[in-house]
Amino acid sequence: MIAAAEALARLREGNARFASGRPPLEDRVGPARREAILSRQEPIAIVLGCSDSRVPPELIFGQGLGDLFVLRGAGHVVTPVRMGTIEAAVEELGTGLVVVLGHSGCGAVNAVLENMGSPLRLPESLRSGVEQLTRSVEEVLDGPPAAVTEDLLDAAVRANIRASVEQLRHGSPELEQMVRTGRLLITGAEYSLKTGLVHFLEE
Amino acid sequence: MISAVEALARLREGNLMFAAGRQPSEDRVGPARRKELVAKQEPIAIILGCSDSRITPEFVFGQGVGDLFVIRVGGHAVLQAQVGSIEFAAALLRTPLVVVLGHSGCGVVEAALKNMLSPLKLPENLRAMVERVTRSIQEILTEPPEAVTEELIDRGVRANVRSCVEQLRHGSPELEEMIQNGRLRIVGAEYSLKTGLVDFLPD
Repeated sequence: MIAAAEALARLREGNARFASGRPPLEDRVGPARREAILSRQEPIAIVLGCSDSRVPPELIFGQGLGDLFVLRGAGHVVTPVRMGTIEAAVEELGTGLVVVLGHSGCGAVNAVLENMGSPLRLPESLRSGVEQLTRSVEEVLDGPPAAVTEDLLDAAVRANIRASVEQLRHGSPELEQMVRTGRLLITGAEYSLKTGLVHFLEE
Repeated sequence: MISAVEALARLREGNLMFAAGRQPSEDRVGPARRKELVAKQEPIAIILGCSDSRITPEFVFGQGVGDLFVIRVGGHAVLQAQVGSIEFAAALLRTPLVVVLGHSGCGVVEAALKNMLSPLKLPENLRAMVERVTRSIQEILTEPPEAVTEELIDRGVRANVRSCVEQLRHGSPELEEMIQNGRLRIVGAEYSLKTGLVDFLPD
């Protein structure tokens, strides 16, 4: 199993290729690769990302089949079942890196900002996610915003990434211990729809 | 906006290409495609799939950046956060099709079956995930299994897909209404790790 630092280096390198429009170095998607991972998976990283169709982790990190264990939901909200899925990947597959991947122009974060202060009558299924997103972005706000500017949205996207990272780090005794003992590194990153580049927040 | 029938046809065609080892043209993932998508996304389908690193929806359906709105969690468990994300895409982006994508050899289904055989000792979050999938399988597999065989896992995978399709169809009043009005179609599908082919399950 590869170390978190090496996995991070591969993600950076893959993203640089993607952003510059160069294809991955080798065929990581074809029948030969499929055959190689038929009986087991050994992903180098776990990615918790957004459902947005413009941010597929495998493509933007220049990775192939079997390389990334991926959780996606609008606004990469942390839920118990998502944490359970991550715990399973660390425990069963030995993956040592989690990247929370947010992105510029996030529709979920934007919807939350636009509707702050004027409580929407939301369907039940959207309520808990929106409430969690609201708590995550509140730290960058001084009450409901008068207008949702690009700067405000950018700041809220980053606040939401940091919040998800913190929630994962302290989300369960199991995850906390994995982080403490150095088995697991959890970090946040932001993808730019404009440049195609991923910026890791803690660098 | 594309129709559900047309979206399904594109997914089938893309999957045949993938299984045959051909990849989508560079212009579906390169900088030009990215530029088209800076201000908006218009995905043709919503995929609810598993976190397994070997089943990247974009790869197995031969799609590019911006084509699929993707929700992924262990065993494609249907919970509020997943339903909320699907509603977001169906209502705001007007995506007409949801595919629940299970796969052969699913580790979560295997764990759920073992859990039915004799309850596993699991930490809280992991238990939440396994129990959710156990309940999905139980709706169809009423007798507790005698042993967890490959054949049983196959049946469990299909049971889990069917059950999740049903749960989504009645997941919220909003989804029910969109289906009734013919604005949304929800189908199940199973991916074979061996052949790379996706089999759409009959309704």
